[in-house]
Amino acid sequence: MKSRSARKPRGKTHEAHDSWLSYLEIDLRAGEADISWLLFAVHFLLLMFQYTAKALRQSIFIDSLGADKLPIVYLLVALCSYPLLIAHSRMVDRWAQGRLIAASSLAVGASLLAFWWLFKTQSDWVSIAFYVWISVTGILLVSQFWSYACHLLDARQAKRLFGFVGAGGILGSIAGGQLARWASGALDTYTTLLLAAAVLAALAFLMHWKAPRANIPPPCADDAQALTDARAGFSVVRSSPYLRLIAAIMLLSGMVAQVVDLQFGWAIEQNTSNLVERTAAFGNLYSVMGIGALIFQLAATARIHRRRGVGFALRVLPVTNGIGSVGFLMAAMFFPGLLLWMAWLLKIGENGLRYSLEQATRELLFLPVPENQRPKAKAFIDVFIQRAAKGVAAIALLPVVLGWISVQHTAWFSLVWIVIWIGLVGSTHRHYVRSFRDSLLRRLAPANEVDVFDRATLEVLIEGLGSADPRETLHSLELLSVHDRGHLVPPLMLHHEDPEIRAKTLEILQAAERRDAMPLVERLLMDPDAEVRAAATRALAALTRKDLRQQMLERLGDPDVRIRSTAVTYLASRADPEVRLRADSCFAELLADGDPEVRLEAARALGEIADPQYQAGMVRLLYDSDPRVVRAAVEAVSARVDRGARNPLYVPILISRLHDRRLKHEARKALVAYGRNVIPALQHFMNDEQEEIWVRRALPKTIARIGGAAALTALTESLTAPDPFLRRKVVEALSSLRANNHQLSPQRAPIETQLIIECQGHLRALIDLTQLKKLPSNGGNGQSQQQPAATSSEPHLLARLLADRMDDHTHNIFRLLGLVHPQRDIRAAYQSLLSDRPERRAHALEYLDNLLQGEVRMAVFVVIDDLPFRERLRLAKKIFDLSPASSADTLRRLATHRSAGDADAAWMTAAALHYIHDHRLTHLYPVIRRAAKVDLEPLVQETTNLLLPHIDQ
Amino acid sequence: MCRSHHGRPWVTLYVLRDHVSKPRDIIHDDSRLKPTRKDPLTTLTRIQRVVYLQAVDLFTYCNAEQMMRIAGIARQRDFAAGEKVYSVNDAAESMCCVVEGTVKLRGVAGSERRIESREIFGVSEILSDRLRSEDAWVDSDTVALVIDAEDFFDLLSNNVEIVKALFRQLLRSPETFENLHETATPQLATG
Repeated sequence: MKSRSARKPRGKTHEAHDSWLSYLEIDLRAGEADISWLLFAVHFLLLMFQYTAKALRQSIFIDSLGADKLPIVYLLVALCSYPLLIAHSRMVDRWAQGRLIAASSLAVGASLLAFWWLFKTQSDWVSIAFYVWISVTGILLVSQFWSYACHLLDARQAKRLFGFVGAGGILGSIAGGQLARWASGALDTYTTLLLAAAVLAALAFLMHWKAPRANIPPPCADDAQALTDARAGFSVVRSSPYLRLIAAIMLLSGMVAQVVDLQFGWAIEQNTSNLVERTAAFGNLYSVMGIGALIFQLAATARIHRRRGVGFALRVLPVTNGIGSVGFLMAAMFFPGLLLWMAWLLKIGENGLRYSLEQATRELLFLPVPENQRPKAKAFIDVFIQRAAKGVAAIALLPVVLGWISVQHTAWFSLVWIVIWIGLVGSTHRHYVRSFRDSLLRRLAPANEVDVFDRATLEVLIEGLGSADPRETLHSLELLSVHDRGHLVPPLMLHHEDPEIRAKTLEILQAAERRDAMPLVERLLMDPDAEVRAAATRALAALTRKDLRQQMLERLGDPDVRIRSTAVTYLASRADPEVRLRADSCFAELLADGDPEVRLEAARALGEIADPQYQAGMVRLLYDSDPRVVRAAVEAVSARVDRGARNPLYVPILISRLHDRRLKHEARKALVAYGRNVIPALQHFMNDEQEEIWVRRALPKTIARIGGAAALTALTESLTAPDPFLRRKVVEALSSLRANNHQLSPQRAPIETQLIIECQGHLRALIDLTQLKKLPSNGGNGQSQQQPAATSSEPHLLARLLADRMDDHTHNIFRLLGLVHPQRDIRAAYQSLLSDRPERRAHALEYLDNLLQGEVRMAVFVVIDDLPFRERLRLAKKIFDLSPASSADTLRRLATHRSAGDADAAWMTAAALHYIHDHRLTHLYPVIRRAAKVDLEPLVQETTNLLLPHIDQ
Repeated sequence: MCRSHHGRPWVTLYVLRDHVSKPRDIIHDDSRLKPTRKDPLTTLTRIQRVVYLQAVDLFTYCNAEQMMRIAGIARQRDFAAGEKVYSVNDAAESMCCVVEGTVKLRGVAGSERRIESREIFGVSEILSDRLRSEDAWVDSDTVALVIDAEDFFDLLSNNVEIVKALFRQLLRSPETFENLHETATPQLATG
């Protein structure tokens, strides 16, 4: 509704259009009309063709071979459809989806012309081929259409608009049946094929001229995925008793449907005398079925789910089929004149329920299935079980083809299958409730997938309120609240030990206007939790619809600090200056109290008071000496920001709090709540060399948590941070930003530049590390030894620091590659490069060799390729002009030269000085003495103070 | 397997093969900068703390940068011979790495253990959040690095890489798990 009101004013026609769509509960938003109407029209034409062709298919086959031969084509359809589905998914990979539908429609239309000509030969095989061809192409065209619709609409649009698009299909099926009836009477049954072809031509024309020109990918990935899912679904279904039951029900339901189809075909055959009559009968049937499905869908489906639940809905189809089958059997035995009517009722009931109530119930059955298993299980049941049902039924009905039993007696098959089906429904419903309860326990059921109209679901939610697990209770409360079922929440929940649940219950009771809960709500004004107290105050004010001012003024003098702070929270928002003054005075006392517990309550109360009230007090508490008070103050800022007050006054304080490990998470959460407007400030402090280094290092993750294009730009601009730790954090932040939002595409140039710098850094560290190994110990220059040299084979701290540096560069290289190439593939390549298995390394190198290009490829491959060390050195010299200095010079450089901006560089210096001493490199002792004189870095001074007495011995 | 092969496989691909050995092979000869109580330097420098802590088994898989962070929260404490470090049922608030000297531990069953230089004690109670299950007293004058549990967990909560490195070591050493199990006695309701 909001979006509707936000739109620009439009003409009366549009308003009327909107109002009747709204009346039908179709939420068509701005910019969606063209595509929705296109899909509606295409679906209409597609189903119109399909039902015209189906009426022709049935009547021509029965007229030509007789209804008792139908099981042959059932079997052929079951056998042909799966291979054709695979062939189709492989053939269409070069077609854009819109063009594919147009081309397929034209091809099928052309095939109808061919059949029109072939039917002139009056051969029986043409009827069989036509039956199978129409059945299989019908499935493919519908599958192509829904695949296309899924690509055009995102998941949220699909939920809103698929009902509208589906309505086009139902109207198309009604029109299709009537087209077949009318045309076969007015023209000729076979000529109707030409009209069906014309409908397809219109569809192709519509797709060609009206479909969006946007680049919609070919459907191969989807189809292939569906087939892959279906294959994987076998193990999923096999491993789950619940899914096995669903599959068994679908199988039996499909088998019974085939028997009903056979019985109806036979009844038509018996009661009609020529092809035109038969076509008209089938045409009428499909139209009536469409109308029946539409009426049942609108009038009964939701009502049955709401009032009777899934268990009842699951039984409707088998029970009506059972009654129909008994009726059919009775008519066949005792009232032959009623046989046609019974077959009509049975078929209309079966089809009408199958495509309305049964379809919707089936979707509900999959809800408790874990989300990662659901598509696979559904695909398996769609692709294999539905077809298997046709095949099994066809085999079971072969005695009819062979003349061993008559069609009337096939009702016995139905009855046996229906009895098993009803038995399985009971078990399925029990599993459904149990699985749903389990998924609630694990919080797997998203709010939008919970059907509170279902009685069993509602029972599970009410049960969840009494759960020992507070998470389940809270989840149940949230679901009840979201679905306007707050009146079912008992006020006794206010006694729950979990403060979050008490606060949520208060919120729900307030929304549900439960005045009967007021005595309990009043008690919570003294709750130990500040948030609960505030919620209780709000609820009480809303429920009494009175001003609680006098009551709260009295409480300002209460000895209990919690009651005083609750009163302050309430009174601080009053307009009366006198009341405000008293509240301010009480709050000032809380603030100045020497007891940190009192200040803690003051900080908690601030979270419930609207900004900018008491902002000076907030700043004071953010600098409090007690860390618990500071934490509560930071959380209070977070609560204020969450309510929309983005006071910039707190931002620098929150940023400075990032240096404290114990407050970092809360401070970050509050900053993230500020949103993208705070990014420039965060970027400024991140790049400010005067800022405390641990604050700067905590900022990239904070920026990444905010997300969006602004965060991406800020982080990309900071890629050149001189501090390696900060740079690593920036790269990690960019990586997580990209992982959480694949739509963000970073600028390639700065990332590639940094990639090359990282490769250079890696090789520099490698060369340094290698040079260390060459250093002679015990005074390799021949000087006498005062002490024996270190004999440890443990890598020295200096070697470990250099190795860390190499690791850092390597991680950065792969994370940066993941920003400009598929992240998951780059991660897999990295893991493979670390593998002990040469073939995995080779595959990874081959992949990267093909993926990377130009300078980046050259630089990265010097680092990662399996090269002899000498060759790596040669390439490092050639590409980066890096060449090894002498070992002594390397150590001298490490001990004296520190790169600007590297906050940990002094560790490298200290470790190098330590290394000189540990390895008794007496010719380098002057380096230690000089460092003692000129290097004022405290860590270096501390180290030289330690070393000098030893080297001067 | 060498330390770096587990900790940083990338580096061992072509670099550190000749630099590393088994963690248990660490031998600091007497000439290294090892402080003693007689040493004029009574306070360990930061670099010494890193050097000593990196030789402790628990931190085998921590890299140098992580060791710098851990050394940052370690404080030096000197104990005189005979001094009690902690007793059974004391709250476990810290763990100790012996730099120099000897500490003895005696469990409730009477079994005794000696803790010497470069060994750490008091870890299992910290990780399992239990009361002390042993008495610990100083056998000879001892210099130790003490890491407060609260600081340690704060550090871990902000450095998931250190947590991974500790897990790697714990999974490699079944005896550590056994120790955790043995010390996981129920908290006594002492009020």
